[in-house]
Amino acid sequence: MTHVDAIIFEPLGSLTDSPSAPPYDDAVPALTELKALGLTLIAASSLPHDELTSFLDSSGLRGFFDGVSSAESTAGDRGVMLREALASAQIAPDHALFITDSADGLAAARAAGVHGVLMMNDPDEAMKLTAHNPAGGIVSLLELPDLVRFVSATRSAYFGG
Amino acid sequence: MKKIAVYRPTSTDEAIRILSSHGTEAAVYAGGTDLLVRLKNRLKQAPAYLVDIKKINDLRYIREDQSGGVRIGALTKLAEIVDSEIIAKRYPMLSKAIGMISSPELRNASTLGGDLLQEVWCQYLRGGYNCWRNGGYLCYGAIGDNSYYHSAMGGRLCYAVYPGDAATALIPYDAAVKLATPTGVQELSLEKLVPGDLMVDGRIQSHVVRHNEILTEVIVPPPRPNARTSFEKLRPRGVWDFAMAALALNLEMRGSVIDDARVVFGGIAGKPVRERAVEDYLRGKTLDAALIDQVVPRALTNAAPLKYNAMKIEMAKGLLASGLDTLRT
Repeated sequence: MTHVDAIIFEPLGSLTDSPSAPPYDDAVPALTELKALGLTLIAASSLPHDELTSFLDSSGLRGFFDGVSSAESTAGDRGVMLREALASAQIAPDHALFITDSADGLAAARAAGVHGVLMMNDPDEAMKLTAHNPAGGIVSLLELPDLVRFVSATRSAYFGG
Repeated sequence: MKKIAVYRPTSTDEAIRILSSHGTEAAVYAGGTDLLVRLKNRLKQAPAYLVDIKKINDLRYIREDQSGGVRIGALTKLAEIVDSEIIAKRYPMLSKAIGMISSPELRNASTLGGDLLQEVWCQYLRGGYNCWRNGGYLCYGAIGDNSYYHSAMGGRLCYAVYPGDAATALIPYDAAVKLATPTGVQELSLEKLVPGDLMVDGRIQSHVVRHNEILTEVIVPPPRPNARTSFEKLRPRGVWDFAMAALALNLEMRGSVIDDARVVFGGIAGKPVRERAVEDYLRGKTLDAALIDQVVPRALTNAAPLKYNAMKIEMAKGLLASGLDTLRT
């Protein structure tokens, strides 16, 4: 991977608790910086489309995103969801990151040819998930701009999980 | 160990030319107590070309300058700094801090420049994990055992602690460094030399020195009048180990009133942490027990410990209380 064109976000708040849950503290500053870098940003979830958009509206995050995608429209197949979201944004999967905190998310990324980046919220769980060969890992969304710059600087063939 | 080639230039210009020709595959070799271990650890990021600068004249000295300060050549051994009468007399806190680095054997080999620019000692990096500093894209310290070598103050991709005690002790003296670069000599403050993790030449490192630049000198300004200084370090064993937390204090006193203060923590973050909020609070106040009680809760309020290292912050705050108390009496 030589550079990043797009980032697809799955966890941006504790959506499983409530669609009106607040976003993570680091979401707004991270998304602001990523937009300034000129990246295409897509929100994706296995939740129904209405719940996802409701969360994005109530949290004030909607304006950051160029696309919103739900696995509801792909019969729960998140790999297909990722491919379709990127196709509509005209982004090559190899130049996209999928931020996820689950083994299923990493598998979906792999199925879609996208680079799955582990959101390491829970250290113990994250350590187990390293066995699923994520392309990368971050502790905070605020690290994403550095990750994007690092990929560009190293232009590494390794990145890809 | 990977195959390496060693150059032995006799001038900084020649060394810079060699470094420039090999890019990030080359590195400066001085004391070797960090670099050779990285090679022995078979790290991907270890260099293939070593530029041994020990043949370069006049990088190993401790001398007074015209301002009343001291200049220390980058190749000066840590043991020589500890043994220096000038340093002991005028900068006792620096002498103490350097005397607490590692072990006597390693202080005989390690140079001041090497201590300032050393690689982090995260067990995952040194163990060959594919982390950010070793060809990978994940910090294993952030999710694994982070009780010792990792930041309790947040991170930027890599969460390893900057391990250099010399920088922690030099910053309170407002020290600066000289870098020899392809475009001439640059001077910058110690604080700017080690600003914490950043990307330089496509690599994550704790300092700003590029692959073809050489740290040549440390400049320590004259000691402040009526200064009281202190350096304390907590570590698992009395020798060898790196700091779990360290604190360097430099207070400029007028009687019992603090005119100016420098408060720098080490061992808790990816850089020496100059705690300006505490410095501002101390300034103009009488150094007494009540002040210590008031100021400690104001320290490190932006701490962000990982799962296993919250005690580093408690240790650091404890050092602040005990350090100020020592200087009070």
